[in-house]
Amino acid sequence: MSISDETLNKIKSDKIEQKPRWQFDILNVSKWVAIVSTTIVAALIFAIVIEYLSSLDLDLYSQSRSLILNYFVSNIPAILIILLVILGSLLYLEFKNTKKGYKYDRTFLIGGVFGLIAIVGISFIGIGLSRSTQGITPLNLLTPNTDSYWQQPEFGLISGEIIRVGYKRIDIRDYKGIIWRIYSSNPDLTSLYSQGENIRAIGLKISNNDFLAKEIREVSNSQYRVYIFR
Amino acid sequence: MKSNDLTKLSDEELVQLSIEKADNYLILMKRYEKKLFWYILRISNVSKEDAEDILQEVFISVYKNLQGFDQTLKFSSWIYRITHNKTISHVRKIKTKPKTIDLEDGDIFDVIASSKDMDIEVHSKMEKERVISAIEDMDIKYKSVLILRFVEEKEYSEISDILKIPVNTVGTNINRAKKILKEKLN
Repeated sequence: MSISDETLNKIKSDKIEQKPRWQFDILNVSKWVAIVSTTIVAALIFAIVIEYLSSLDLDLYSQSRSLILNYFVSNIPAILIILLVILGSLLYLEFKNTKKGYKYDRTFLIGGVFGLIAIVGISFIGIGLSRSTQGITPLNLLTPNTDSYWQQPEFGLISGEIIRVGYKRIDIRDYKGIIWRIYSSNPDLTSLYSQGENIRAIGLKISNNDFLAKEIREVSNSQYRVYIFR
Repeated sequence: MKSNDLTKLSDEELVQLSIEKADNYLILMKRYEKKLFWYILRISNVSKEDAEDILQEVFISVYKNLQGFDQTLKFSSWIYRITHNKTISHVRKIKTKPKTIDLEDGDIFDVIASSKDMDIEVHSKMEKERVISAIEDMDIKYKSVLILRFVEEKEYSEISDILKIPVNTVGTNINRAKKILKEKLN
């Protein structure tokens, strides 16, 4: 008896059944659902990273050379970038496991995956999705806190919430709860700022709790309005 | 339909009929039994008994998954893919040591060795043995592309579908395999 005959007998005697079509359909659909979900999450992370990096005050590198390294290292959103690489790798594997995924070589697939993440991520930035999810997704919490960097008056950097706006002067409460008087050459501060707003000031500490601002940056949803007073 | 008529049908048509009735699957199995049996032996060096067990496992697996057969693929590529995977996993499981292939089994090696592409001439029995030994020692990755290309006479696209690797990689692996074989023989 040939192996074919034996196998047919076994199929009949053991009542071996074929898997139904719908099982394959569900598996196929779930693969694509996983791909779409991974792409959305990865693209959202990409958008948050890009928005975060673009919100960093990179121009401040020139302010103090001793702070450059510290600033750079402490402000890279490492967790999000690692997460992005993990999700990118996962997406690569998901694509590779589709019916036709094996036909594409590794370089093409990796390039395609990260290109896709970048395109969708940029679209998210374009429609403001990454900004509107701030505070909703836990992802934003994974970006480094830049507050401590802006809490160095001895290096000419101070930030906090405005508690009063007066003539050539703004009073703020910093993140430690200390009240600072920020002086500016601009007499028209009341039209630019109001109580409750967060600002960052660059300038010179002139005495305890007194700071002379050369530049004031308003912080709002990762976007800045910058006023320079010379 | 008479069984004589059934034998004239294509693999893909037989798949449809096998989904409806298990008896029709016998024709498909018979069509591939010998080819796959030898393919298992050639790539794995397992014993004939093991090869029969693997083949039965392949046929049952194919039967179970008939309704999931991707119609964009050739049936032969699909069944060879399953055979290849089952053989590899079997070899990994038992960690087979290469057996010495009898020269009568060495037809495959004659084909590879005398292929014009290979540019290798095998005149004497001694040289034939060297070719056999060189191929036996090869990594399965290279051995399988050589066998699929020169013995099973598969196209690059079919080998790509069977081994689930890009067509370019098939070409690269064949060239490397030839190079390795030449180096071993020199």
